[in-house]
Amino acid sequence: MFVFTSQERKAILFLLCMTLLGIGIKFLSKRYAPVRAFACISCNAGKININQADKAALKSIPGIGEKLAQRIIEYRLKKSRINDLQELSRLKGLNKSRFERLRQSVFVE
Amino acid sequence: MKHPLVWITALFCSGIICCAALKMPFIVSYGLTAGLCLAVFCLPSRNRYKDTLILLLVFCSGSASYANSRVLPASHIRWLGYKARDNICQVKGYIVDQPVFRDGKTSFMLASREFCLDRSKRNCCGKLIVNINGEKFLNCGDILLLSGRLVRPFFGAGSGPSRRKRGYADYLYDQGVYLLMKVDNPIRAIVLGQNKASLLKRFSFRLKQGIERVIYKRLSPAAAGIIDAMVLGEKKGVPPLIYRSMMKSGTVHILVVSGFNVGIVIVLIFSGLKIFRISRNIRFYLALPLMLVYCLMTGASNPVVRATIMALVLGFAYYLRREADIYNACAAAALLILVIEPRELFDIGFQLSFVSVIALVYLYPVLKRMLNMEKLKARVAACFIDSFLVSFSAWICTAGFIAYYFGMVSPVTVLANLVIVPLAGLITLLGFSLVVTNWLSAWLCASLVPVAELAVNLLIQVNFLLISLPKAYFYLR
Repeated sequence: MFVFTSQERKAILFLLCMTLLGIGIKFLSKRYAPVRAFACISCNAGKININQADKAALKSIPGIGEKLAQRIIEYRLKKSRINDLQELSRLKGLNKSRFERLRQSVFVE
Repeated sequence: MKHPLVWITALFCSGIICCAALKMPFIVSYGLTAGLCLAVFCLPSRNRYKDTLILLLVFCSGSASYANSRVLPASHIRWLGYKARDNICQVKGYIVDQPVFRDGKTSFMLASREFCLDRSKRNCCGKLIVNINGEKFLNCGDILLLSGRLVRPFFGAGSGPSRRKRGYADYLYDQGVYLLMKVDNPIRAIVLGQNKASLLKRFSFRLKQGIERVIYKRLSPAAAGIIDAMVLGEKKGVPPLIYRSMMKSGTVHILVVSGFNVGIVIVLIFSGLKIFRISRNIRFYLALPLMLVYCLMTGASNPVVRATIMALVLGFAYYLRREADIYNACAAAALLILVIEPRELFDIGFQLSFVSVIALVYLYPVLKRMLNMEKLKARVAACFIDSFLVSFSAWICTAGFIAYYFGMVSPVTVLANLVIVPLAGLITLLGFSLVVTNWLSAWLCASLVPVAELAVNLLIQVNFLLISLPKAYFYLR
């Protein structure tokens, strides 16, 4: 039923060997791919600087609404600058879960 | 053997299905394949079992290839993402497709390179789908530093009328995507530079943006959305109501770039170059990169890749003045896609694309022979029956897949395709003409606009009329 010509057989075997070799190399490169861990130079990239953020930037943080953003800005103006994020935990309306989200989204500089 | 590639592809597919069903580990399937390969080489060339062993080797290669596609390196973003859970992490990588702004979100696919969590940074690999809240102007190839949360895709194994057996997560799994990244604010996506490797891709997407600008500038939003989908395969502008109505009538395939569009592009390229009396060989060399650019522009989805490879195979046959075999061309396209990514076999786009082509090249001639179409003298009747048979063969072969995936049967599809496909062909041609004439003559372009608007409106009205017919479509409960 299945009869290949000599040329077809050679071509198929060549392609199959190349595919098999390719699969093997791909597997080995995945299996022994190095995981290089190195120190993070700037972990603040993409985060908001709490001492420079305006109301709109603060409102973009999940869990921070209009009023809370206003309170943070008022607190910052009152103290001239925020030195530690922990200071904000005393603010009205900033419960534990909201504070945790804020902490992940901002940095102090 | 009459169509050797067809048999080889069929066996390769069977190997993939077998490995997926048995969940065969890579070492087992690869060991089996390597052993078989050695046996084939050890057998004398005139042994009667050699050909059978070669075919068995093809089957095992499919299985090994699929098993290998499931192996992920230790640095894959999937493993690192699970560690991050709900914490904000940073991912550096480059954009691999054209970002889309839809429903207030900018979405794109990112090839990750670095991952940072709690001051520890490490290299990583793998693809992610990124959703940024709000609009951010980004391009394919941009290197980004993103801060956000990594989440697993929603599994959603459909319920209600569209009882899908496979959910969104399965679809993403077939694409090699295991995680989504949610970025709350556009300011948390920092552009660091551009990836130089994707120059052709970037050029293709720039060209696509240029064409889209012309279409949206000249036409009304609904007409522009439909023409954009037909010419470039970009469905973001198609009104949801029209999209759903086309799904019901089974004509949604006209909103996807397929072999038909690739055919139009080839005809346009060849006739354009023929006007300038360019020789056959140079025409062929010039058409190759242009076809690749069109393939990239339309997102290199399965139907376009299939059609481009088939066109390349048939083009080579034309160039070498050899007889082209459509079955081998189709099989070559499937084999090439599956060797690169075996999981594509389970993609609905891949299945529908190849099943409809098989229906047109195999079932349609069989039906034609059964009805003795050659003996029919009346030209109009012959043409009508011919079109009906094309539509019927495509529908009968794809109906099972549509019923399985979407839980819907649309008997009106046969009739709808008879009317809508020629109209869609006209609209696609008008879309291409609109773009070309916009660059040549603004007056000519302006004169094409009302014709295109009218044709799109006609298409929408005919489609609504067809789905309002009794028993035009029904859901399977």
